[in-house]
Amino acid sequence: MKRKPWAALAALLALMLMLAACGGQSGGGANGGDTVPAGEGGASAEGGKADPVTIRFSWWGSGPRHEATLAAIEKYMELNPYVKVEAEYMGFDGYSKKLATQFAGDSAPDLFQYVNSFNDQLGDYLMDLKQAEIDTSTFPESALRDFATYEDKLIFIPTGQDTFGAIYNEAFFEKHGIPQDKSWTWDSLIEIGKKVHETDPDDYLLTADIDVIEREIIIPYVTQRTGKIWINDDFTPNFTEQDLEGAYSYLLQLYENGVMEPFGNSTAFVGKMEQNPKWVNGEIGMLFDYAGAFGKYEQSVSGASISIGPFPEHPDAKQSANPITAGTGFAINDSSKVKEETAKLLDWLVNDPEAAVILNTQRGIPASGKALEALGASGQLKPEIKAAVEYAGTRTALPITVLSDNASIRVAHEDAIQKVIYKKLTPQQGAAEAMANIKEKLEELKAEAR
Amino acid sequence: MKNRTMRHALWGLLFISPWLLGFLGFQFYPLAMSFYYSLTDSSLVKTGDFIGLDNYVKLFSQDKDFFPSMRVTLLYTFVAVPIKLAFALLVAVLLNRNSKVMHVYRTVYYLPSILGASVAISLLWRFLFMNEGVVNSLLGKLGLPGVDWLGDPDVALFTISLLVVWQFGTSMVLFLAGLKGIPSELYDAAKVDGAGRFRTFGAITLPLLTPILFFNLVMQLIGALQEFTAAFVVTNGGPMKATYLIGLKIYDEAFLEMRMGYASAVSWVLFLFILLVTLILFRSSNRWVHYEDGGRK
Repeated sequence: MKRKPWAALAALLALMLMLAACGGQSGGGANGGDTVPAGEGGASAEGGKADPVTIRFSWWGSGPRHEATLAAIEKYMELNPYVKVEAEYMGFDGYSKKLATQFAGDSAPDLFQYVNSFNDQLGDYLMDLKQAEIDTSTFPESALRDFATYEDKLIFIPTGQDTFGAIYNEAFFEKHGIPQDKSWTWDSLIEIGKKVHETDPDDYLLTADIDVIEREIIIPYVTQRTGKIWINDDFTPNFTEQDLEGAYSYLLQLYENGVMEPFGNSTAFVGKMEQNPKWVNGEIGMLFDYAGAFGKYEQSVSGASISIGPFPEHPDAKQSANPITAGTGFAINDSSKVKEETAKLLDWLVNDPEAAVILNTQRGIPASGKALEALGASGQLKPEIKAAVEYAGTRTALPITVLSDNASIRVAHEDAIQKVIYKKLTPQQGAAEAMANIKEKLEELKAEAR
Repeated sequence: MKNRTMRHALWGLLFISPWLLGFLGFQFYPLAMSFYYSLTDSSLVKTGDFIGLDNYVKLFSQDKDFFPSMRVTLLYTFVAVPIKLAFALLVAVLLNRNSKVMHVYRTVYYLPSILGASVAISLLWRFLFMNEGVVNSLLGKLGLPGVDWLGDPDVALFTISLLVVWQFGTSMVLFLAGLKGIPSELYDAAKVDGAGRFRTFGAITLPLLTPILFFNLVMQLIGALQEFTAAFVVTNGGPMKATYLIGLKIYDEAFLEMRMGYASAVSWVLFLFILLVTLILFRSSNRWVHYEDGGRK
């Protein structure tokens, strides 16, 4: 018996080549989808009998939002039996990283939740939705223009209007005799928070992780006074070291007076304050987050009533630093092969009355007038969130610009803040370091933008 | 004759081809590409231009995080690896007895290693060591003050190290195998000579275990210098970058800043550093690693 290793090796190589070729071809097909307009979507849209379509849909969030979105998908598939929607969902942590990696590997989902702070990285890869069959007349023009437009393209459809609020535990307020309609100033937080902690050493008025400290305490504290946006669009900071120093000194007072839970406690729950056992046990009175996140905080404290109050302001604030934002929405992958069907699903998600009721306020108050009306009529609109957004609407507020919301600037700033909290730097030194860090990052970003 | 050797070689290649192809496709190619990327300004989504050694120059001259991050990584390695190995050896010695129950214990002690440094375990660790967590409440029951395990910059790195030490199983199994391989005559002879337990351990067990110790040391050092999961999940590099291991730095550069080219450069520097450490260890091994057959050919 003669064995021919050459032949076997050659056969194996041939097999490998074939596999590689197949892989290459399907990859080519994906790219070809851009240029050939009549894709699968086109075929299915025409006749009554449609070809099956699979749409990949990803989003971030937590329990209640996942449940609502899955229910909406279920409903959509029931109404459109030829469509199969594959859900890919996770927490916010790592979401943009995963998405960017998927774009790099040409495996990004067709439809996905998007926030305009991703614009720098992903803006170029999104479909211009002006060319899609989506009813945008139901949206406030300003929301589409100010938030969802990138280089003259409409890159996403805003899902909700949202704003920061002071999410609080009603029983805690009652226990400490705090009126529920309290309009907080930064000073009154200290005054009342101090009393709270003195009354019961287990209790703290506030908790905040490092992200919340930066985004919802330090920046508003500064920009309410300056009356300016945080970072100019020409890559320069719009605040002084003195401004920062004042905010850092204030932050230290929050800790020194027992107003805010010690920083070390919060480090285990960055981005998931609702899991903090002290919040769950009702030993924390209040925290700052988007009103749209209300659901997860409500769900995490069993048997207690949670509500939303107004966001703190200086008495002489030039602006609330808490605008109504519509920076989050759904976007479509520009190299999706099923753009048309995906646009249909998107339109349904944001505009359909039935979808509005299922999705409720899991992404804020619906931005589409049609959806808002339907949700209002159903009597299921969360009054707390509605009130928070309405209240924010009564205040003058400057927008949170994309550059002001940049993740690497935030990280650079947070470094300095932590050093102040751990007393490695005085507020003055911390402010100097923060300014240097932020300027350096801005220079880098400016260089990369060119 | 020549034809025959050739045929043999080809058959050999054919049989290892699944591994070979996997190696070429999944290891060699990415490795080569990452080196190429390290010489470019590639971002995560765009292939960049060739910029020569700029990334490396920037890393050593301008990057404020690189040296602190290396320091933290070394500190972590010097804490975690010795404790882990000492612990593994101790448990191995305790379990090196022949009885039925020992099998059960060996399995039980190996379990944490099967679970690995997974995300789930890291999450568990966070809940154990948070301020209101199990560890502090146990300390409280004993009348001891709680420790800010994760929030105190001076302690957090130690807490992370503990998580890794806890996974001593693989080293332990290797030590156990080594212990089994030590001829019992040596112990008998030592006994006859009147050597005590510690003397026996120091004069017989330890020297004969040095090849295993050496292997474990090399493997654990390499692993520790590349550690990522524990620090990422439990503390995310904080507080105040006290646990900002070089692995996290690479991750941040790649996926937060989206600078793939730069992240590749950091990876290559780490790779060369690990290579250097390993070479030094191998060099030093003549002096302290004892092979029964003399170790030399």
